[in-house]
Amino acid sequence: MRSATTKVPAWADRVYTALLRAYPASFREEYAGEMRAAFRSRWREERRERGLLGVARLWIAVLADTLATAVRSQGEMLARDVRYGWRSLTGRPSWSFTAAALLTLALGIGAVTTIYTVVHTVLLAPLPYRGPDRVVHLRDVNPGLGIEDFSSSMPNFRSWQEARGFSHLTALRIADSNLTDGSEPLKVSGLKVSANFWDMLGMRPVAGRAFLPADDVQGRAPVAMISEGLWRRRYGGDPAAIGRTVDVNLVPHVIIGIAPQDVGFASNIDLWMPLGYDPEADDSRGDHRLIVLGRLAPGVTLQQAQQEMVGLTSRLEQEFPEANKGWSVVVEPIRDFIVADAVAQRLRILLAAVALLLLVAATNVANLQIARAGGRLREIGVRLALGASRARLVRQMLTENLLLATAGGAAGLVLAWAGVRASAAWLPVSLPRRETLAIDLPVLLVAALCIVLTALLTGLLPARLALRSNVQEALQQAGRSTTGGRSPARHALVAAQLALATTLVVGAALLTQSLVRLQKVALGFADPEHLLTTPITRSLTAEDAADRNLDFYHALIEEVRALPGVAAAAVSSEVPFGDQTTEMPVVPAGGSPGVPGESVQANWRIVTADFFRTMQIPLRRGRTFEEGREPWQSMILSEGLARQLWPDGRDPIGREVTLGNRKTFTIVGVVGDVRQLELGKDPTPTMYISTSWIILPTMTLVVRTRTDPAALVQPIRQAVARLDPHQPVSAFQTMRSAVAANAAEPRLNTVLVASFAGLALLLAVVGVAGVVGYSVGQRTRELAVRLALGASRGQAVRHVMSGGLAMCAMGILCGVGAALALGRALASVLFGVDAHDPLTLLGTSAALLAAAALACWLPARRATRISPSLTLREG
Amino acid sequence: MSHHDDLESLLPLPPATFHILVALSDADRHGYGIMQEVAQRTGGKTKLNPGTLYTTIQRLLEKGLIVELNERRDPDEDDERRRYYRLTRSGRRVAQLELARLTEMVALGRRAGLVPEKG
Repeated sequence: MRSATTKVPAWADRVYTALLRAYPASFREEYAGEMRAAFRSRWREERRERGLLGVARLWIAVLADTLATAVRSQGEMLARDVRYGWRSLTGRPSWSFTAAALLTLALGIGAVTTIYTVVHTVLLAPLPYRGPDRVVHLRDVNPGLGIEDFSSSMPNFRSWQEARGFSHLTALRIADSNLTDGSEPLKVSGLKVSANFWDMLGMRPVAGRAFLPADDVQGRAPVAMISEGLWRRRYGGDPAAIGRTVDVNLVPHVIIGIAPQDVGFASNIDLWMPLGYDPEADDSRGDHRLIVLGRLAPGVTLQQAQQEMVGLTSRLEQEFPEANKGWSVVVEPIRDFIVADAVAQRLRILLAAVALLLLVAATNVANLQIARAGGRLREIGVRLALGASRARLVRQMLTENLLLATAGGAAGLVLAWAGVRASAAWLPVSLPRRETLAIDLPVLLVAALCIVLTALLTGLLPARLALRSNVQEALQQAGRSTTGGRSPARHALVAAQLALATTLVVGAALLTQSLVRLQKVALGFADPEHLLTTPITRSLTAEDAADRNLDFYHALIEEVRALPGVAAAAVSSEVPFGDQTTEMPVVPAGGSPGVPGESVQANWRIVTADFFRTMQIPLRRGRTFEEGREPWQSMILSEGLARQLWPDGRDPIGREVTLGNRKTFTIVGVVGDVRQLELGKDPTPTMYISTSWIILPTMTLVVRTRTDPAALVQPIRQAVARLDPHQPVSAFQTMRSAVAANAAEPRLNTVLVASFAGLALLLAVVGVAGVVGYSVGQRTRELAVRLALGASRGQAVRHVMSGGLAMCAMGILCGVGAALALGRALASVLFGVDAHDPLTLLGTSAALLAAAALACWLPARRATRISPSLTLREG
Repeated sequence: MSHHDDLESLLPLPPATFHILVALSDADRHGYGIMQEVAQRTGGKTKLNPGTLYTTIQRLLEKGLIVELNERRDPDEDDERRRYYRLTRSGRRVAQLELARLTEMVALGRRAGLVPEKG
């Protein structure tokens, strides 16, 4: 039988050795040598008796056999480890540990999953388009005028059509309208879009058809699409609604199709119409009113499209310097159009915060595990002595942790499910895509990843610590004390935990200060609680309707003023913290508007005479408008704008300014600055023009009340109905709630980060107390000796505390360092407070140190109860 | 593992397990020895692969059906030291129970007239 003649090639041996890695390590340790020997014998035998064909057959057989038996072997081991782990976790001495660990992990993983669901929905989940990453937004910019995000003009949009980097370029304009179809008139959010809009997005109508180029021809019978939501609400989803005629602003439109409710960038649009022609704006290159979206042509990158547009816009700038001076275009992914930078950044901060919380939670569990592993040293020693391999024990402990993390994770997912359901109600309305919030596959994968990482984090270190000692040591130590030896690892973990918590608390403190400052910011008008607003869209938009509309508003103001409880009333084209804004460049007369460096980009508002009294915006110079007989050229400036136009401080009253539309106005007054758009932004330079000039289709009624504004809603509705029974009135809002909504998102963000920080701090403090308490237990004998040698109890306590405090100070210091390093990420969302604000850093550190000192002191007091005589006699 | 019911619960044995028990019934053998013995007894029809062999050995050891002897050299083989395995009383008993079960199956088949044709 000896067969030294045929030698097994080294590669065959190596391949087989590699195959053996499929088996559990403990099995390998036991049998790999024997298996290799058996394989070699088989190999020689087959080679000798059947030649290469036999060897080939052997390989196939061995491969199949290895696969089958290894899978089974792994499965059996897993089942055994799970059973063992289950017993170990639910056994009597462990259940309190298990409960604490489960709760901690469930909270951690639940919080991470909830927040990740929001982040995923808003920032990552694919938009409902064909090839969503090819859809882009083209925003007008004018760096010279400080304009970073603006809409586009129709003539420019037409010129852009020659760009070859886009397969589609579409324009959208806002067209909120009154819809009448026999029943009660309805105000709806509407958009007018280019005929290729739906094709550009790659979306199909829910029913009926989308627009055709022929629909957008002047003189054709007007058509419209309505949203799925409106279709179901208003027509019960009846297919016969298609083909029906409805009045849009009193003009009959035929419904040709049902549009999907969610179009990615909006989900509140109920009415879609062809772009059409707006004689007021579409011939003026300087009148920026269109949103432009496009689809990149096949093979064209965003950068290439951007380059092409830079070339194109600079050519247009030369061709039309009057209107296009300084204007360029930025091509950005549509996601950036949907989600503002600050919103995205706040979400990322939130995710980072909750990830830190999970880390703190996992560290806590790891710490508990180390303490528990200390108690299990005897068990481990016995198993090692009985021949269990270390690999086997590590695997077993990891399985136990995986079991723990999976159970915690499952509970966490239940929490997340509840959290996500609750979020749907909590999330600010301003958060994009909140309607599509759902825990889907990618979210579950991330949750699973968290579970596995948590298991590794909580299991590896304790397992390594438990196994570092050799068998005798383990058994001896276990004999000496059932709580194990001193653990620098636990100290390090607690310090790390405190560092993480500190980072979070510093972040939360900064965000909280920022929020407080945001809430206290001067609005520029008084008592928003008693300001009631409602936008009113007039159906008559034709040229000859302007006078009739003005009469309507004047009559309405009269009616409303007469209501009991009303102090003043006015209408304005926009109100502060509304969702829209209108801007135009302005220069002192003689200059050229729109030239960077010369002119100022300013908001313009059309207001009735009593607007300033109603809002209680203070008059600084000159006068406000006079009711009924104000010349149309009169203008009132915000004081910030007046300063920008005449930096030398000349009196602006009586001076003239020219606007981007070439019209010249005379300044009659200067009023206080008002925050128009965002609490966190400086007051916008604003021009107020009288309704004697123009009146827009949509004006907002502003009512200053002396009493509870809610009580006036019904009387105002009735006043409107008395004047025009066909006039729909949409929701009323107090200025207070508009301001609150503006800060809703930072507020929620701050509240969440602060809660995560609080939880992390709680966990860290519990961790500190646990380790100090443990160390007191360990050092009872040493402390007894100190007491016996004449140390006072206070000294003993201080002695115990000093070690703990040093560890805490180290952790807090690291945390402050991390907070300093991460400050830059926070800076962009902070308002009125520096990310490296020394006062915040110092205050937070001091507070944390105090909390840590308390966490050290409470268990350290136990040292005072040590009886030296008793302890030393026992020892 | 000596209780009759416990042993009964292991039946039916997977063929590889039965072969290994049979191979150890008349002598202590090492792993490769078992492989050779099984091949020889079945006229080369059954060749155990190392994976099946050693995972089964591990299971049989855990159940106390075989025991491991000290390592020694195989006088017939090369110089490598090998672990030898020996059938325990329980192991022998399980093999007997399986044999009885199989015999019963054969009898059952015969009574039904399912006699295999020769050749």
